[in-house]
Amino acid sequence: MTNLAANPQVDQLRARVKELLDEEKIAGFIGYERASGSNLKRRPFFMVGADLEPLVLDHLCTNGLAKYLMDYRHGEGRMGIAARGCDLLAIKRLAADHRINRDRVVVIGIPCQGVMDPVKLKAMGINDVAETEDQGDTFIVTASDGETREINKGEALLDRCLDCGHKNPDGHDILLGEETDNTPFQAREFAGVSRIETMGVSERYDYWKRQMDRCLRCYACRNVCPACSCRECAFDVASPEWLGARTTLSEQQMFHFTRAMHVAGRCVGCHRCEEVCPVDIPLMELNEKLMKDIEELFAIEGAHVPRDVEPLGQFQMDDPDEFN
Amino acid sequence: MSVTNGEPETRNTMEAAGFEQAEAWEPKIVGFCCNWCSYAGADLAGTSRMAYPDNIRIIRVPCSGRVNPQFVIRALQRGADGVLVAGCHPGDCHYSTGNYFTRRRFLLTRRLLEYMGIEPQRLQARWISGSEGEKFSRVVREMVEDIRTLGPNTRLRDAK
Amino acid sequence: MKRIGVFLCWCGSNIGGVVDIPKVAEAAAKMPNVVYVEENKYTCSEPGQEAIKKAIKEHNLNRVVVGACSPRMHETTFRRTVESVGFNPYMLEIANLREHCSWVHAGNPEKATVKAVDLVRTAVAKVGLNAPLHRSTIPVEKRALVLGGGIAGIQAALDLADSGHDVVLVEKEPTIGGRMAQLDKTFPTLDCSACILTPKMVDLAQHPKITLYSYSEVEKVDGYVGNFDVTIRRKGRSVNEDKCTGCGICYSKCPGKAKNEFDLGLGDRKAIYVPFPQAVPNVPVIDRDVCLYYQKGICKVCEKVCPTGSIEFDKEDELITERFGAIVAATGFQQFQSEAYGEYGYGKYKDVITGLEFERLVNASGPTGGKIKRPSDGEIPKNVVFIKCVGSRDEAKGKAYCSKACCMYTAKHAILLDEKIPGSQAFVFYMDVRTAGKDYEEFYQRATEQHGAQYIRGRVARIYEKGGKLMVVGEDTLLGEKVIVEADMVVLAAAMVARPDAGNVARTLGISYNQDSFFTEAHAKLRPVETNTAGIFLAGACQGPKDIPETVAQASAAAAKAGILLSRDELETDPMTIEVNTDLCSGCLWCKPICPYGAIDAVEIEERVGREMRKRQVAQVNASLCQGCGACTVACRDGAMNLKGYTNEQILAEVEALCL
Repeated sequence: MTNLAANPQVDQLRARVKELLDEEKIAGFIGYERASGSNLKRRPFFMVGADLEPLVLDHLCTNGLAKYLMDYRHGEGRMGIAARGCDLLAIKRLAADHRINRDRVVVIGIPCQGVMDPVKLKAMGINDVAETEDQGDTFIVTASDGETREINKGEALLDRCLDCGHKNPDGHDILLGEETDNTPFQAREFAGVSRIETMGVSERYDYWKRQMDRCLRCYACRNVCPACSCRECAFDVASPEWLGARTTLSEQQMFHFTRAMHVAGRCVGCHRCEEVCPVDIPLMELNEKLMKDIEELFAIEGAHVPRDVEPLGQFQMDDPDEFN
Repeated sequence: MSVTNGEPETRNTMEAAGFEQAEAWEPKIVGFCCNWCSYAGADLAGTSRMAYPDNIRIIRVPCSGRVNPQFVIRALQRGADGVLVAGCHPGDCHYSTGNYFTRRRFLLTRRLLEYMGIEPQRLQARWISGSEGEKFSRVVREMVEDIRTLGPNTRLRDAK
Repeated sequence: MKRIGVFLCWCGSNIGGVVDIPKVAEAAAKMPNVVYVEENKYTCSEPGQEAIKKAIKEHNLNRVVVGACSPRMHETTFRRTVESVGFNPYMLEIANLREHCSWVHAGNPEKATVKAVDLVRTAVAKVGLNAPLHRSTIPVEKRALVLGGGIAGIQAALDLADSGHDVVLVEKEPTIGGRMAQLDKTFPTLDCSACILTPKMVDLAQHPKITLYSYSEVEKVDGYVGNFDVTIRRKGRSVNEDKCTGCGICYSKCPGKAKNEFDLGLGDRKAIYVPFPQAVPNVPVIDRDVCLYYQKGICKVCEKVCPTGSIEFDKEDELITERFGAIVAATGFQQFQSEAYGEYGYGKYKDVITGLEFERLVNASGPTGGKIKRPSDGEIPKNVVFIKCVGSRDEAKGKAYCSKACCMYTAKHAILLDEKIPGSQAFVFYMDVRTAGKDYEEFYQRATEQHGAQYIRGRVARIYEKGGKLMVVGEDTLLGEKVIVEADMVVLAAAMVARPDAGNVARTLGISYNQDSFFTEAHAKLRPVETNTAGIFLAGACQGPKDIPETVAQASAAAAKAGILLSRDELETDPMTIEVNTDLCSGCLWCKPICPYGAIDAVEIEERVGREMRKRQVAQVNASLCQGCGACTVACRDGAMNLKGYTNEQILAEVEALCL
């Protein structure tokens, strides 16, 4: 078993966390650990006691951790958390919504040049990753038996990393390592949205019907979303009954339409909703449609970046006007 | 959603009262009108006896800003073939800024509905002032024809 | 148990002639929770109203639906009807069977009847979810605050005081009078500004119902309509207002010197001074930045010579807080900073001055004793060029709007120049001549016909100095020629712009202002002196450029509106306001920026969770400020914000009922 402690990044991380704990600057830490039963997955790690041994940090640590901060809102002391750029946007979102107190969080920011998609690795026949290394245009993955393989970044990256422009963790409290080049791998073009926009109305209906039919109403997308943090979700509220309990097509459509409108202007583009959906509904194609429209219609740059007043909470006198 | 003790009301009450089920389909339009402008405009159409098709039913709201896009979906789910949202002209809102928010929100709502495959003419948003009785009746006439051309709305309908 | 009574109106034959009312009644009787149905010929008539009252009592109704004309017509009537028998007036809904049904579907009675049933069913569904609502009242403090002591503030204060209300007027400068005190003569009558202003200033000072806080500023405004808690800073004048007799010995002996702000820096004053002779109050103030005592600890001559011992060197600023029911903002304007037009050389050439500076030269109590003299060498000018639209009608360098009064005051200046300096020649470079008031056009014609003012249509490209003269290079577009005027003095008709602190004042008061920092009126045509903040009114140039007649009219209008408010002991609040369900509210406060009335605020609540007491933020709505538009309810994703009278549940029930 490769000694994970030899990984310089995780060493640094453990050292910083230990420092923070020793100095009593944090009462706990949220990071990543290896998943039991799979050497291809990592999972969220909540520090228990002072045992930092399970803490890992590599390019398979892909879960969104920010939302867990909501569990630690009340309590003594501050919470530490490891966050890449996307997770930091999520933290800012939660803070802007007053769902967490940013002062009670200590963020160890992690500069990032992309993380890997376990599904894509599996398709390449890779099932066992003990260590990962970023070589610029490639990743080097090392299995637990020491065998290494170099894979093209373009083939292995998570979809959300392709056009990411937040490679540096802006808003961190502590930076792990040095700042990295922020040039996105691809331009932010909303290709999926444009593809659907070229379809005719009925074709679009059929496309979304096929996606929505699969929906289980498990609410995983809502649960993982940093923009969805209401005390009691509209879909759980007894009165008014915005949504019925039945999983009919029209209820799925109401659910997804409503959730998209509720996060419109507040979605941070972290893609976690799509990543956790058990039936692979392309949810970002909905959220990015609204992002694209908000940016184009209201001349707002970067609709996914949290701001003081959200796009739907303001207006301009010369907003485009299709009412007539 | 039920309005009684659990039994959804049905057209049976209408039949019991001697109405026959309509044979030919007629567009059914739900209109959300703001009290100060568009509802007043509709009133003026009435006072001026401007005839327009009976396919529209109006729900009064204090401001077009009160209209939640979820009301529109619910209307389409429950049987409306088209929805009209009407408010004061920008700058004239009785509550000063309500309709500016309506404008932004419904720009996105219409686009999202269209993106999800609902024909865009099914949701129409118009500015109608309290003195535009003629405009109100014209808007209704035009919308009824638009919806008649599109046909009954089968999308967003509960599977029953 | 819901017991709904449905009252269907024939309205003579207006409804009944098209809609089959008996059939609608039959259908209504079968609607959920309907226990009583009645038809009336004229429900709004006395017998009709009596029938409703009788039915409420006899059938123990707790909700009422009236199917009749538009609610905009008779909702108030029917609410009063039911309230008179102790029935909550908000447990009533109206189905519009006339304006929205019989009158527009007269050609199709069958369809009209079907629609009428739908509309009644909708009202029945909605009223089933109505909750009793109660109007509340807030007290009104019968005192008015007027902010600003120019002609607008003075007029408003006098009108309010004359109608019997107590008024406090707060003025920033040591004296009231504002801009009008700086003017010489006023158009179109050319009567002396001070002569018509000072009697009003004195009336104000002597009025038993007006308290004047001069040399004071409003620092903070808390509260809301009827109950504004205002913190006022009374700045340290260093002279006791009660003891001072205005004898003037102090400033005659003072060795200090500074530029006189009232004369726009064209003349001097002492360290202890009154801004102008007719100042009200006629009490000097010490400029602590110049006074030798405050700067170096020496002198104190004023204290020595003062016969009444009024000098109080140790008097510091004082903060007081008072409550008012209404506030009138009358904070005025200033002139556009003409340095922006580098080509005119304002600030570079001493003889290029603004319109207000010209007023000071012309004014008998000004720095030159009323003689128009060149600031550079004191010579009498012969050729004077007036340039209009400086800073106005110019999006590139200044403001886009027209400053309204400049055409008139430039014509006035041309006339005054001719009267004061025989043989002088006025050249006016103009784009347009706007003389829209009463006798204004005739006044302008006088300037050209009787006083020889030469009007040149064109703009000035630049001004340069040559041999002690100002060479004004411009264009005469009507002749299509370049024009060069050898001028002795140039007067720029600088636009009226908002004061630099206007934005701060607006934010302190909690009122809106536009991109030019003029305060925003509630409705441009129908509510020109009110703001969207209940209880705060506008008067004068702070709302937009205007001349004196308009200012005075607006000031009286603002006083009338404020007077309406103050004439009530209590204000009734409409109960159809927002209700916040704090169980659902996440405290995200995304509702807050939506409200145009500033009715939403974050508030911390404490609640028990398990064994702990926890604090969290939720939204709170001030029911006195909330106007019930409901726009915030849509920003609230889980429905914590609900609008009483138009709740989410009610509207969804209406949608359900309509779509059957």
